[in-house]
Amino acid sequence: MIDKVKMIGFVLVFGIFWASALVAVDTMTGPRIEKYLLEKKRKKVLEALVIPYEADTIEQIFTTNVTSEEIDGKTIYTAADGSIAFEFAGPGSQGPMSGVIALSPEKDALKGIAIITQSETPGLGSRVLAADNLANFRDKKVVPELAIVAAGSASADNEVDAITGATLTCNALENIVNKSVKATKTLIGQ
Amino acid sequence: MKLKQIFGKKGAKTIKNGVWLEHPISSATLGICSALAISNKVENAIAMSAGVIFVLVLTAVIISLLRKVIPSRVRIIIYMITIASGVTIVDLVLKAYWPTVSEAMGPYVPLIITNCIIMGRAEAFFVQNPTKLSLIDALANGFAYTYTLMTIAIFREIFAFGTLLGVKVTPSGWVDWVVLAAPAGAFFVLGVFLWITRTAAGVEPPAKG
Repeated sequence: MIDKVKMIGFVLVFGIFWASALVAVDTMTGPRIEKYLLEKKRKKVLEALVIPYEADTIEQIFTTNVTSEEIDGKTIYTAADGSIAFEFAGPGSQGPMSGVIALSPEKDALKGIAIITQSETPGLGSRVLAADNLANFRDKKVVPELAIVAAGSASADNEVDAITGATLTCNALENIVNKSVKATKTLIGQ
Repeated sequence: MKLKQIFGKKGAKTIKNGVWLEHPISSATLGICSALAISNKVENAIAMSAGVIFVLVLTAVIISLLRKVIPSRVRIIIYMITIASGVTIVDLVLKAYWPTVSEAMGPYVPLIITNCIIMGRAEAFFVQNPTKLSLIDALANGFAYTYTLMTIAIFREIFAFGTLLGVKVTPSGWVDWVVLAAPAGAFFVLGVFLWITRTAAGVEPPAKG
């Protein structure tokens, strides 16, 4: 009996000790993490809208060049030239991915895509989401739909080359882009 | 033997076992999963190894200090709480103060919790041995894990991507061995690694009874 009490007591004390340590670390790091995440989101919005920035001027460039507006709980970022950006999230092939998509002022072509989180296979799926590959999506038409086609066969203005060995990630990205672009256009009434 | 002079007889034996004879990956087959998954690029291997060494050392200190008071029936739970809390703290601190490192390591930090080397060493060594020896054991096993991951990663990155730490090293016209980038490729390289190191260590597989 005493053994059992001791055992439960030990686990309880041990658990409380670590729980309070975690709470303490979380309170200490929480505000910093939040601040960093906000800054990162703004950075990605600028990236998608193809607005140049320096690491220490993100805040300033964002507030002077971008206005944000809430529609039905979704934030739409508008740049001076009329192009818009919005956040997206959806299933990748290995796990969820999220980021920012920007559309041209006419809302018929992509201006840019920036990835915030992803968990695709490093070296395979992750290559699709690397900045140099995402640059290929610039100015591609999303009307009627964006299409990622077999590597080397992109010809129409809505087609982007896929990457061999990363078919699932390409399909996932294509799906997410088309879905979220449509949803956003309905949201802003276009 | 220099090792004996510095670490004592037991310490030297612990190091020899951890680094070579009872190598965590090739002899005890612990930590195979992460060795296969995170050895495709040297950069990833370095990050993962650093995380594992840190948590191993933390666990070694805490478990060996408490080894006389931990009730044996709940010891596994105690290891889990220690490892999981340690990893969470590392994750939070990295996110807040070194966000770029944290992003580079991505999902690998939380994955350290599932690394069986830490759990395995806690049960096999830390809970039975004094803190100093446990610390030596943690470092020896951490080093063994590191050099294994690095060796596999160097081969895989060069052959599968033609790069080393992101720098192009192969001649132009090189065709990437895509299979080595996939987890299956890791099995081939790990298999060869085990074959060579186990033969060199002179360890025979146990005779079938």
